[in-house]
Amino acid sequence: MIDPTLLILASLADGEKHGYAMMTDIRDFAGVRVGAGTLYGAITRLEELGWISAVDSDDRRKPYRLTADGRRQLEEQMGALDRLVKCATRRLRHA
Amino acid sequence: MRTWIALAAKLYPRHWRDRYGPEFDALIEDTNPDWCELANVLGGAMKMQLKSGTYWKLAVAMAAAGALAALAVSLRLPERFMSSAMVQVHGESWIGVEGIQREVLSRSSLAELIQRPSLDLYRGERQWMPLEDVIDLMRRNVQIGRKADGRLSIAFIYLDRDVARRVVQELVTKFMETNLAIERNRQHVYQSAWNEHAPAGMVMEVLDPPAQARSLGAEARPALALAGAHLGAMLVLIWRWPRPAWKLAAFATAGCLLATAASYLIPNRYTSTVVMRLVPPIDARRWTASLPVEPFSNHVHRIAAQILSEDSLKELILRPRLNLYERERSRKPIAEVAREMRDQAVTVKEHAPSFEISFTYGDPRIAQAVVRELVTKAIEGNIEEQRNRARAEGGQYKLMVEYRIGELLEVLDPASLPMAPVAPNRTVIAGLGFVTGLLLGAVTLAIRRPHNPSIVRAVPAAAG
Repeated sequence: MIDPTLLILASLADGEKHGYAMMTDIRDFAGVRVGAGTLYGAITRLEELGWISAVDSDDRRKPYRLTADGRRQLEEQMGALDRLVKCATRRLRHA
Repeated sequence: MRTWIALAAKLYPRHWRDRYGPEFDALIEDTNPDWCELANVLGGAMKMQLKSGTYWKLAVAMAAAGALAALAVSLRLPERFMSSAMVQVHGESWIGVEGIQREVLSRSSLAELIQRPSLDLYRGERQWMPLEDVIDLMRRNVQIGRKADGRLSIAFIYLDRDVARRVVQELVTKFMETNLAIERNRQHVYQSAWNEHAPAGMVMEVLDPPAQARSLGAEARPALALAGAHLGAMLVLIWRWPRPAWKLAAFATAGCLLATAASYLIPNRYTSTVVMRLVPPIDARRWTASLPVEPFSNHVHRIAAQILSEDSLKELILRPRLNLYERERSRKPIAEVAREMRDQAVTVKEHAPSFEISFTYGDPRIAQAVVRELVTKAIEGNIEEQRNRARAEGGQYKLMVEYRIGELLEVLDPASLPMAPVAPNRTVIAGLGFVTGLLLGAVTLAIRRPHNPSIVRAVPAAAG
């Protein structure tokens, strides 16, 4: 249900991570198993949009971090989700 | 599994692998690979290929996969076999090869073959299809071809190699026996009527007996593989369609479904058919010296005009047992109803030396009853006509009528009881619905402005 790009942005919010670290982090905080194909499809898209960037590293496991644009997008998305959650919760209470 | 996933990862576009390949391979090494992971990587590779615009590679891969899948399916499908025999025809027949062919392929003849315990044809189909449909199915599987040098090929396609060969053997026997019976009868009545031996008629001899049936599946496999490849490539192209194309497809599908549902509001119509044969005089050469034989087409037209005359149809419509077109009769004069019946519901088709009379109506049993009445009228009319002519002309004609060797009208296939409706044509209606839906979709897309995307989906969809 949740867009994998949003999950990656959320995972990188507390610091840089490489692919496998993002995968395990997402499984821990969202309970969602993101496949390697899905993860790297989303990473490609986010890097093209300039919302994340690769960190220079000698290791094959290249870490990524949030850019300023990416952080702003994540905040906007969180705001929208927060409004959605509040609205839905209120309606459920009055239903 | 790790090897399979590594191979799947190679399907990503080259430029993508140059950039992400090493870290992607490292991720695969870290994960616990399973079938889900493999499917995920394959899906990711396909999407990335499409996104990168090099979808022709994917089309080629999908075409190959489609061809392989089609081959696999063709190997799983039940095998079909074709057996054939060749018969040489010498001389001319009283009713011709077409007449004998119609007799051999008549409903009664094929029904007897289908139900013969030693053959027991189409056992599965007979459990869920009416016998009429099974007979039609068998007719489609019988192939009879006439060659220029008087040879006749008889072939049959079936699921069982041995049964296919035996059926061809039976068909050849039926051809020979029918011809022999006709010739024997002709000799007998000729001798009775003219007190001399009849000139030689048609002789059939088997040139090639039914051969061991050959497999049709092996011959069809290249075409199937090609169709599979075509389908695979088409799937990729469809996947590339932009969103409006999917919306158009949805409109067209909805139109198709609605039209099909609406078609069930139209009452069904059923057609009953009889096949009749017009047998020429048994000794036309002698007879035609003084009295010319009427051409087949003229004779059929005359019969049709007689049974479909306004008075004849009025009598049928008003017959209490049939009580046809009750609603129409309350709105229109009976003469108009009779004209509409003749022009729209009754058809006469010629296939010399036989012809078909069909009648279409809302009730299958009444359709059959009407065709039976039309047959009775035609035969009675023909007998009456012959008697009148015999009385008027006397001599040889009187003798021919007495020995029943004049122009005879015979029923080859009795009036069928239709099981499946002939109208409404739901395929055409569904097609029209599809086209209408497509047009409506195009108009809707043209006048509708795109709306703002959902706030939650503001992040563009990831490739994964």
